[in-house]
Amino acid sequence: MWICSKLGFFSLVKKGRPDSWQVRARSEADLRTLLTAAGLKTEILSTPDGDYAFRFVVDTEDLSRVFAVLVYSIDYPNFKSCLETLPQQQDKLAVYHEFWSQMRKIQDATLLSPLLRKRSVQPKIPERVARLPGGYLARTLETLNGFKDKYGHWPTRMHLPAPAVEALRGTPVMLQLYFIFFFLPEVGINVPAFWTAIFGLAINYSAYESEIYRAGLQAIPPGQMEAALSLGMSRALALRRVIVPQAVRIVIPPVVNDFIALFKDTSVCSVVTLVELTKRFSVLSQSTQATVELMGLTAILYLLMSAPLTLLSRRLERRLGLEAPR
Amino acid sequence: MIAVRDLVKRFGGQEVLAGISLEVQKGEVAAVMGPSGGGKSTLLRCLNGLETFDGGAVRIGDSELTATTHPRRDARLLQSIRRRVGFVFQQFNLFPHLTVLENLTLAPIWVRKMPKKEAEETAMLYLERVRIPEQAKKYPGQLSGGQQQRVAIARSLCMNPKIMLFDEPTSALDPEMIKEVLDVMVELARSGMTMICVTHEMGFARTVANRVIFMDRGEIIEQADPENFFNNPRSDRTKLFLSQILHH
Repeated sequence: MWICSKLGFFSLVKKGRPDSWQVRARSEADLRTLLTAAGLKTEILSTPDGDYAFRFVVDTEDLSRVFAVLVYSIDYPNFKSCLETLPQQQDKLAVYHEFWSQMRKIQDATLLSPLLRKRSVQPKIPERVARLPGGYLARTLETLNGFKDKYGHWPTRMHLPAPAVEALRGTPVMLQLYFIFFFLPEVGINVPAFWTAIFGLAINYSAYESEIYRAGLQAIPPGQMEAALSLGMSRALALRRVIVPQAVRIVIPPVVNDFIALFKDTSVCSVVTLVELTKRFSVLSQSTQATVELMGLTAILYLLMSAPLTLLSRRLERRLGLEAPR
Repeated sequence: MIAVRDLVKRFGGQEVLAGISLEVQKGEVAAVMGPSGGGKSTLLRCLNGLETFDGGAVRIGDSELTATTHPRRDARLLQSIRRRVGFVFQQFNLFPHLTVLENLTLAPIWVRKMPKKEAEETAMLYLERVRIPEQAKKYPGQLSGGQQQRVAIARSLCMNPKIMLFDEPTSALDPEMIKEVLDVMVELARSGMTMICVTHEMGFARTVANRVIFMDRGEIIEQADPENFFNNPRSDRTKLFLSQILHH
């Protein structure tokens, strides 16, 4: 298939391995423009004697980026005039015309949203996965960090993690992602971009969560623990049955608040080469100039994904709130 | 039943309990009175291990707490004592996230490993005893102060304690609710429960207690039966205290 885009003339061929595609052009400059627009760094190969002297090979994943750029930069008038000036193509004019008018429809409406929607699945997954370890880590940190202020008599080792929480809260999450992605490989630990995002966000948010849980625990009057102990309960039992259930009710709104923030913070993951919704937006907007429309769409997609969280938190609050009036 | 020997407790450098010795026999009702800040509550909290102390010893039945008793290391000892010693707080300290019935059954189920049904039956018995069985399904926040305190007493009784400690149980209540709580305490005392009550209720001390203990500045100034305590106080500090509360 060959495509006439505002960026130049390209030919798209499936060649070699099953998920390997060749994008070819007569001009190296055109190819380079295309690569830049698609945000790729693929090497340009040249075979001077061929019809298309320059080419690069991409997999399906990268092809979708190239394709997106091409679709948004297709040049209809130019394409038609090209066809019309070539006598040997005249017979195909009607077919091509039909094909491109379909293409245009797709480009104008349907293609835009599925492309974005498909991309937007990505931030959701790290967010969802990060929430799990985030929650557990938070609970651990908070156990280590918070209880002693309140109930006293914890062994000295329990006092240690406070500086850890401070370090995690006090440095930008972006820096922490850089650290995992670029520094850890230096000492022999390779973390893929996806897992960097998950661990980075999980560790960073666990620090915030631990502070929220601590605040929740501190809001429970010490009399509650004393009453439970006076009934012969062990400290662990009292925490499990009396203190934590009350603290959880208090921390639900701020925790959900943090989860929404965490969800949006997935956008910083682009610094470790992970292409998520915001990155996708910036790539597309650079290649299509439809910045305002895309921005609106991106915002709507984020909202659509965070709204269920808010609803969930409302329901949780209502359910737990009904159980214990006042 | 309870024996306290030379109990010393310091907060910072200040001695809150300056060598208290005290014995309470089985079935005895002791009222602890005295000006605020005299160490009454602290003494009571030392008796069930809510407070550590710096010298002396507390013996409850055959268990002994000493200055070296550690809240975490000796958790088992403390738990075994607390299962035998009920404690009623000034601020009730009911569990607000649980219903009245759940408040009462929580400890029996999880500490005594009592089957839920049995625990609930016992709980209802005690709720009837404190005269509020109809509130079983409500949450503490929906009850009046007097009702809450009666629930708190019933909650302690559900663990079938041998001794009950009351830390100013009526001080946080409106005057019209004091009676309903005192009635429950009077009935409990008549049933033969060993009780130590920190209280400002003269009526209660006079009619129910076998002994009145007067404390001031961390010391026991005077111990006497109510008759002698109120009519023939020996120490000047007791006289001063009595004149103050009688003439307010």
